[in-house]
Amino acid sequence: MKFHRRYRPGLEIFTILLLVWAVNLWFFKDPAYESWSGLPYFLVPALFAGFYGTFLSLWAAGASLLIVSLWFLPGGGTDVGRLVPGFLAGLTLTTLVLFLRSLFMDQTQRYRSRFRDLVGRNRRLEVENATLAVVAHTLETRIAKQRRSLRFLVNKLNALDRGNLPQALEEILEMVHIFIGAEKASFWRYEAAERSLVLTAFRGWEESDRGPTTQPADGTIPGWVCRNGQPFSLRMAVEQDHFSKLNPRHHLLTYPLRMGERIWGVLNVEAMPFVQYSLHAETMLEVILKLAEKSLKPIIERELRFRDQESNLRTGLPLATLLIRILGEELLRTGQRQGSLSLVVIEVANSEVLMDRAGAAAFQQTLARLATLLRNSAGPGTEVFHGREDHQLALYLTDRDTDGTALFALELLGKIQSQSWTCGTETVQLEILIGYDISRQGQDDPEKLLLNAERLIQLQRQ
Amino acid sequence: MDPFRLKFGYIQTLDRFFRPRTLNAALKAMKAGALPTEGFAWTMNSLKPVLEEPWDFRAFDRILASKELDFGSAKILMELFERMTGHPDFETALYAAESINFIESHYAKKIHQASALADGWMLARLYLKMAVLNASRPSIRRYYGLEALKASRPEPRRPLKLQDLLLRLAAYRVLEQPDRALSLLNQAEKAGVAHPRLTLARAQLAFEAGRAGEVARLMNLARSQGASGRYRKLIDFWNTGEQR
Repeated sequence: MKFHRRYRPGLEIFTILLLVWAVNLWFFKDPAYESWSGLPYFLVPALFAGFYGTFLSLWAAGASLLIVSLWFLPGGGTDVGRLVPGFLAGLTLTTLVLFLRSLFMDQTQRYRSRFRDLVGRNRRLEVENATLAVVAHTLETRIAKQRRSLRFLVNKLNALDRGNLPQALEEILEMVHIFIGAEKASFWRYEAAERSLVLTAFRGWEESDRGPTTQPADGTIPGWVCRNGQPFSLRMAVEQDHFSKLNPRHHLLTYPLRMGERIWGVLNVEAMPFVQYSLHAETMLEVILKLAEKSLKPIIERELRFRDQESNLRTGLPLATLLIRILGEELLRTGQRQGSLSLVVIEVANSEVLMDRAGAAAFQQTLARLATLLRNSAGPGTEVFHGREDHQLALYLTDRDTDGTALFALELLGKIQSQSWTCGTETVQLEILIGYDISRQGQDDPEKLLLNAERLIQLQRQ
Repeated sequence: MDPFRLKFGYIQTLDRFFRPRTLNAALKAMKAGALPTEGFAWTMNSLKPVLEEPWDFRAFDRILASKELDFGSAKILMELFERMTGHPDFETALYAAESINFIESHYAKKIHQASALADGWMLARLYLKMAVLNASRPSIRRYYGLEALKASRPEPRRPLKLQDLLLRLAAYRVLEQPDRALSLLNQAEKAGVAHPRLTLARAQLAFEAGRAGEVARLMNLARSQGASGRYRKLIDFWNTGEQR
């Protein structure tokens, strides 16, 4: 193939000129095509100029002249002068063809160059695409990268105020685990009067880690943190001997949890990966606690109110006496901020029938489930109480007007009716009566609110 | 055209376009011309973390079905599935149990392949990974930790290689045997094996024992030994309390 490509043009020049010469020799009695000024010979270079370019057209021109010169051998009888016009015409045509060819080749070169660029770009795009696909796949599947997303943090924080204190503290411990890799962490509540800390929640502890649920506030790192309101980090023990004496072994990071001006307790990180113990971890912990404080405050206040208070043993709901007390406190607060407070009382009208059929215990369990629905309907942080009667439940809402409270009552009724209820082992229908009253700017007393709500229920009974 | 409208116009007309659920689907749709580039950028930035509730079980299936389930993701998923087994909904708990089984089978298969190839080091690493995955099950964790030690047992009269040392140290950590880890480090020191990673491993033991002063001293030593890369930040933190 190489031989073919290399010698083919030469062979072609030779063959074509030989053909022209042979035709001239045998068929035409016109040596060197004198009557045509030797044009057939002088057109061959133009032909090669078109196909092969300058170099080979020069070879063809040389070969043509050589072949033509054979006719000028002694005894040839050819007049050179008559061939000049043909020669000039051939030369002009060859030059023209060369010029056109170079134009064509330039354009072809430009197209080729552009094609090469496009192919190159296409190839690079393919590589970029493949890389993007890999990155996209990695982003999707690399959960470690997803879990520390800000959105995840925000959603966790928003979920804090939906539960009670133990649940909220567990959520925070989970966030600490996710965002700083804490393997073992706990919350300790500070009891200033008793100078002790009480274990309130923990995560990641094994059986061997469980010990006393209280520790003294004196002579311990958590105690120091509560008294001084300052965080502790293990590296502080490098700079200050005082901390080494307090046995920092199980206190990698100890941060205070504030409720307003006072310290509620501490979050203690007992174990975490060495490589994650960093300024980032310290900062992240600070951020999580700062953001969580706002959600925790009402939960903790509610817990403080309900701690050690009497509640129904079966339903676990606080009694009406506590309702009255708390209503009094809330009305004061409502008055201060010029808001409104609505008391809603829900009565199960067919309670006697249900108790006769399934027993008092089963009925109380049904009431407890009803309380859960009320809590979920009213929103985060709502507490449900027993009413004055055993078959009544009560709750209060803040900053809703008459229409808002009426709408809430209607929606509640709809939700209760649309759900199926069991009492004991039977599926039952709950006949619900709802009464409510609204106090604007805290201008009523709790007993009056409760009485008005009960009166509304009485009217419905008639 | 107003660049604002070009970009944010997509969000205003979101409903007119194909809504891909995954990033890969967004990339393919963009290449096929069914989604503008803004759509791909929007999907990429709006990726819902799989751990966020409510859980997308299809996302879990996609990740578990992936050939390259990375160990970090497997570890996180295991933690989540272990919690999920306690879910009040039976179907969810069953799904979690099956998924745990799937992840364990995935690594069990790799262990089997490594055993067949008689690749002791790879086997030890896999056992170690299984131990970490079973962090919440002490007896199973202990079993895999011991198997990792067995598989990484050094050949007699052969000098200890750094990677073997680090592997055995990790196994002792998993087995919660800091004394043995310390003893191994001392042996390596006697044998003249010195490396910043061994110093950092010693610092880690001191960290877990709460000996902050010793940690700081060892960090200085690691720095002088030329610790670099991702450890540099950690070392700087212990030396100055800041990260440069």
